[in-house]
Amino acid sequence: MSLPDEAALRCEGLSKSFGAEPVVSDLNLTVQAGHVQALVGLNGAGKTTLMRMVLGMTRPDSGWVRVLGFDVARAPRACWAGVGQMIETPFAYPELTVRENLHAAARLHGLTRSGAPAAVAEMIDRLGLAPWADRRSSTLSQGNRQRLGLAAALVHSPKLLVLDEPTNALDPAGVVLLRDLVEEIADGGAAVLVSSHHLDEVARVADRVSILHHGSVIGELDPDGVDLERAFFAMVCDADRVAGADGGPTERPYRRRFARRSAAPGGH
Amino acid sequence: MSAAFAVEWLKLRRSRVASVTTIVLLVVPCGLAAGFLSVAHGTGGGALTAKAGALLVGDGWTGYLSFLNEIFATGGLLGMGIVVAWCFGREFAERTVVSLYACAISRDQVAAAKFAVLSVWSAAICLLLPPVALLTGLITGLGAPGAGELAAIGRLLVLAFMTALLALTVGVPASAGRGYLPAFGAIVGLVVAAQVAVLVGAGAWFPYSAAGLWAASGPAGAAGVPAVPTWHLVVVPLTAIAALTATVGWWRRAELV
Repeated sequence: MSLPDEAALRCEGLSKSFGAEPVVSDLNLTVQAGHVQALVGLNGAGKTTLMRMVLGMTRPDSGWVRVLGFDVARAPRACWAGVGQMIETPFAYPELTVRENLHAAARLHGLTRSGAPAAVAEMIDRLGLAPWADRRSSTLSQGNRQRLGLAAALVHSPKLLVLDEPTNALDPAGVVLLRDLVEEIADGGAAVLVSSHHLDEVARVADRVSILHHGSVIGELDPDGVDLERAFFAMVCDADRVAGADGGPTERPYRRRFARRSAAPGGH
Repeated sequence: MSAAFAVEWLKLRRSRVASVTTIVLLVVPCGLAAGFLSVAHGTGGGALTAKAGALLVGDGWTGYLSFLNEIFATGGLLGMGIVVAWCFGREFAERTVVSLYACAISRDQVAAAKFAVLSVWSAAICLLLPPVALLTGLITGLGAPGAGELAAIGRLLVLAFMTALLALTVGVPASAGRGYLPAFGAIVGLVVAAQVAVLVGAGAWFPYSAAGLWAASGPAGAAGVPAVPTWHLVVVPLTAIAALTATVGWWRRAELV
């Protein structure tokens, strides 16, 4: 049953392993309506796996996810009609035009045949896709394909939006546009879960920035704080030290650099 | 029209794979059959003439339709199978399947819509094949077909529908194999398996050879081909129903990898 005062997204005790390797470990996460929750982490931290579990793409080994008040394993059509997502690949069938892709996305997200065209036209205008609206998506640049994917995630006015690395391939104008869109839909009462490698970028739009490391939330960054990169790596290194881990190949170069900067006179 | 059907129909209509295959399936088998007949009646005495002559079971329409049955039994499965493989497998190969999760329209509805769209498309090919076959026969100078030839064309129509049903089963390897390449491999494997089944005497019961043997053993059939009772063809829709059920169930449960 959906509860009116329930968080838009709630994960409890969520764990997932691939073979013997844990990817997400006993993770708890709550995103309230109208809030933007950012996830930051190194490659392989578990961000995409977490998002896949949230969206029912992958089943957790243990724990549960509730989306818009529904258990994700048994979420009805009405629940998914309120969810927008862009994970890994934008919604862009190469043989369809931009307009046709958006129409397809709108219909699959529950819009009626009569209601879809207006929503599609609005998204084309909002995402600046008008010059390419009647071109096949196979002819689009990577940045415009990303815009198309964002438009497809938003075309049905979702109550929960999940975006994995949405700034990939976007030009600076696209990044600003995305920021405005995320703020706009959060102001409209939707919850947003977004992952990114760009700490400064997510800090501009997020209400909360959680650090995911080896499948666990190890802390939060203050979106209004300074030198987020340093704060981020300090938490990552502390987590590895506590865990007695040496860090993986991705982390070791930074750990050396971080140690040099800390040791240098006046170093941060 | 359901949303899933509308979206899948749009994708198929815009696909070059489907449009090219439609033309190939309608033109190439008829053209090849007429060509083989012409070669078999040739006076050059070459190796090709000898081989085609050995396969010839009759003159005029009888020979032409016999060649067409044989060609379509295999070529139809290959052509339609490729479109079915593309329709399901492309979602994994191009990673568009990710967009089909967390939608108001469930993935099993999408899979069912794919089958519905493919059925409409293949039914259209089946219905167009007899007129194209007749037209090709008339153009190549076979004259007006008699009642026996029209019955043989009816048999070709049944063969085409049976082949279309068998092609739908390619949805299983395209889905479980998560791409069209495993499905292409499965199509080749099925064609080979059908030949082996005929060789070992099980062809009348093996779904992928039964329809071809049934067509070949009919009025325009080859001498020496074992008669296959029409009721044996029930294995074809049963196989298709089992494959459709398995595919839709797979799409309902499958996780993203």
